[in-house]
Amino acid sequence: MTALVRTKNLKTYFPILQGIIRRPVGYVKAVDDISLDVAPGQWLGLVGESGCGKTTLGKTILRLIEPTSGHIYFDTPSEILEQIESAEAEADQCKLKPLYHAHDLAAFSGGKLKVLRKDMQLVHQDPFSSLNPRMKIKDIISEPMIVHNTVSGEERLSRSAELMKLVGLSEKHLPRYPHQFSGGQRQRIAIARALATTPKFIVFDEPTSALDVSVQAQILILLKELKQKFNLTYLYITHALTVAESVCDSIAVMYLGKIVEYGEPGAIFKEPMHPYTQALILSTPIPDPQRKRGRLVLPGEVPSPSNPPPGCRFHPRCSRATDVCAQTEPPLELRGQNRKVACWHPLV
Amino acid sequence: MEKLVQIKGVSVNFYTYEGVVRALNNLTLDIYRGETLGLVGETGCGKTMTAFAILRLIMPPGKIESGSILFNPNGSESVDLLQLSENNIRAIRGSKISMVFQEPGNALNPVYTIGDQISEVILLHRKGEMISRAIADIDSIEGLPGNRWGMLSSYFRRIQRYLLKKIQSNPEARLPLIVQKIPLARRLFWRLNSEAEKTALHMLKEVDIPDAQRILGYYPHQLSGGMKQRAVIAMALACSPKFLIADEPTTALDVTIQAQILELLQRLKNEFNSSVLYITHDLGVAAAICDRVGVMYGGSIVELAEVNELFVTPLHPYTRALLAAVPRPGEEPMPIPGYIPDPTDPPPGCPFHPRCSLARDICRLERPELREVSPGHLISCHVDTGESIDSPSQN
Repeated sequence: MTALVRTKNLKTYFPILQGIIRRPVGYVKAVDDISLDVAPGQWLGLVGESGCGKTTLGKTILRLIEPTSGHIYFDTPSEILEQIESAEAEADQCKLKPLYHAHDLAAFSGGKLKVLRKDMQLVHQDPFSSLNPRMKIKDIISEPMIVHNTVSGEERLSRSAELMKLVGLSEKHLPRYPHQFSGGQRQRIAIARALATTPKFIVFDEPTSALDVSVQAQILILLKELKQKFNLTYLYITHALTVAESVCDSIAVMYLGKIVEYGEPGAIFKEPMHPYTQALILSTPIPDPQRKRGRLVLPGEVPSPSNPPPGCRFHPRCSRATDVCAQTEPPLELRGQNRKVACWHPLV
Repeated sequence: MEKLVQIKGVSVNFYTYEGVVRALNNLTLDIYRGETLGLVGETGCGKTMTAFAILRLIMPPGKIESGSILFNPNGSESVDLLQLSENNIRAIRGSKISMVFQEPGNALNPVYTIGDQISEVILLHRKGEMISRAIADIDSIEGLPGNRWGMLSSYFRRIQRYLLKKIQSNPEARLPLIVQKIPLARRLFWRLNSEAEKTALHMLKEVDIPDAQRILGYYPHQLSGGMKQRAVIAMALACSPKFLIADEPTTALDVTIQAQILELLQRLKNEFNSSVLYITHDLGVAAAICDRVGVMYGGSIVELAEVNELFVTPLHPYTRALLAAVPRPGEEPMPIPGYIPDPTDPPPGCPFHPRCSLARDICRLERPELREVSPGHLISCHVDTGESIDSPSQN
C-alpha cells in the first residue's frame, strides 16, 4: 500500500521535571508506539477523548513537537520504503543510516524541514486564538507565501483574493481584522491560510468543536469540496465520533496514547470491536428520542498518561477484562479487511 | 400540570457602544413542576440569558426591559422574581432556584477547598438547621452519663451554646455578629462549620464522588473536569432546590463523562423532585434527558413541544434545518445557509427569514407570534409548515 504519511513506532514523551537540577522523574507518554499509514487522498479521522494524545500525534507528524523516537515518512516513494523495511529486517545499520538521513522526517532539520513544511499544514482548533488580532486578513493569508517565498509582490494579493473565494468569503473581506468575523468565517480564513502554500497534506485539529452545528456542517462540506478540488489528504482530529463517521474514509480510535481500533466508519459503527469504541458510540447522544440506544455508562475516568495501567490501558474501565488484559498489552492486529483492533477479547 | 415558573413577555436589552443588543425578545415560557425542559439553540440565541433573567443575574449594560417571571415554589402563592428586592432574590438564589454553570473550572473558586465552597452555600441558606443540629450536638455531650468533662471545656461549650441560641432566636443579634468578627473568638462557632461540612460530605456522596472525605479538602485544580462538575452539582443541590437551571453542564466534558453526568442529573432530579431547565446546544443531549424541548432563535422561542413530537415531527423551518445539520451515522449533514444575524441589527420581521427557504413577503415585515398548532406544540412561524414542507418531499 502506498502511503503519503507513514509513522513507524512513533513515540512522543514529555518529561516531568523535578528538583533544582530539573531531572526527569517520569514521562507523560502522550504518543506511545504508534504506526499509522495515511494513503494519498485519504480522509483519516483520529478520534479520542481529551488527553488521549490525538493532538500530540497530529503535531508530531508535522514535526511541530519533537518525537522522542520513531520514524515519520512523508511523501516517500514506495520503493524506498521497501528498501528501508528490508534493511530494518536485516538490521543493517550501514544501509539504514543514510536512508534515515535522506527520508526520515523525524531526523530532518533546518532547510530540509522548511521545504517539506510547505506541503503539510495545520488548522487549529480555536479560530479565535489562531488568528493574530493585529493582522489584517490579507496579511494573515499572505504570510505563508512570504515565508516560503512561493508568490511574490502584486500576485500575492490576487492569490489571497482567490483563496478567499475558494473558502466562500469575498475579496472585500481582505482588508478587515479577525474580530470583525464570526467563528465560522474565522475558521474559513484559517483554512484559506492553510491552503496558501498549496499543501498536499493538512492536519485539522478539531476545526469545528468551537462552532455551532449549522456552521459545522458548512465547514465539513467546504472541506469535502476542497479535498476533491485539490486532491488533498486530511488527518482530521476530533472528539466527536459522529462527525468523523459522517465525513471520514477511515477512523482511528485512540485511548491513552495508543490506537485501539482502526477501520472504515460504517464498519466501526455497525460492529465496534473494541469495548472502548463501543462505549464511545453508545455514550454519544443522538437527536432521536425514539432511537434511544441501550446506554452504556463507563465507570471511572481516563487514567493519567504519566502512569498508565499495566497491560491493556483500558482494562480498569472495561467490563470484559480478564487476567491477560491486566498483564500483557494487546498488539494492534489485523482482523478482517482493513480493520485493526488492539484487544484480547474483541466484541466481534 | 402545575406551573412552577411562568415567564411572560420578558425582554432583555444590552446597551453597548455598538448599539442596542436585543438578547431576549418578548420571551414567553412555562415550566411545569417536576419536568425537565430543554432549551436548545445556537450561540447567541439567548439560552443563557433566559437563565440569567430568571435568577436576575443580568449585569449592566444589560437590563430587563419588560415582562414578569412568576415563581410558585410551594403551590400557594406565586412571586414575581423581577419585582423582588435584592435581599429577597438573594434568599431564593441558590436555595429555591440554583444553577449549574457551563465551565466547572470557572464556577469554582480556586483558593478555597471544595468542602469550604459547599459549606458556604449551606451556611448561607440552611443556617437555622445547622444551628439546631450544633445545639443538639452540645446537649448530647453534656447529657452523657459519667462523662468527666473538664471545667474549662464545659465552660466553652456553654458559651457556644449561648451564642448559637442567640442567633437562633434572632438572626440579626449583635453579640454573635461581633464575636464572629474577632479572630480566635470566632472559633466558638466551629461546630456550625463542622455541621455544614458534614452536610457537604453527604452531598458529595450523593453525587457519587469516590473517597468523598478526602475530596472535601481538595482544591478545584486537584480534580478532573468531571469531578469538578459533580462538585458544582453537589453545591447546586445542597439546599434541595425546587428549580435547577443547568447551563450546558456537559459541554466541556468528554462523551463518556457526559453520559455519567447526565445519568446523575436524571437520578438526582427524581430524588429531589425538582424541575430542571436544561440549556444545551447539543440536540442529542436534549433528546436523551428532556421531557419537553424549546428551540430558541434570535432571543425568543420558535418552537416548543414534547420531546418525541419535536424530534419526529418538527414544524418550524429552523428546527428542521438544525436537526438536518447534526451529523448522524449514515447521513450527510445539511448546513443552514448564512450566519446568525448580527444581534445589534436583527433583520426586521421573523429573525430567521434571511436563512429560511420558505420565507414569504409577510416574514420580512412582521414578527410571528407563538401559536399552538396542536395540544402542547407551539411554533412561531407565518408559514403553515405542516403541509408546505411535506409536499415537495412527496413529489
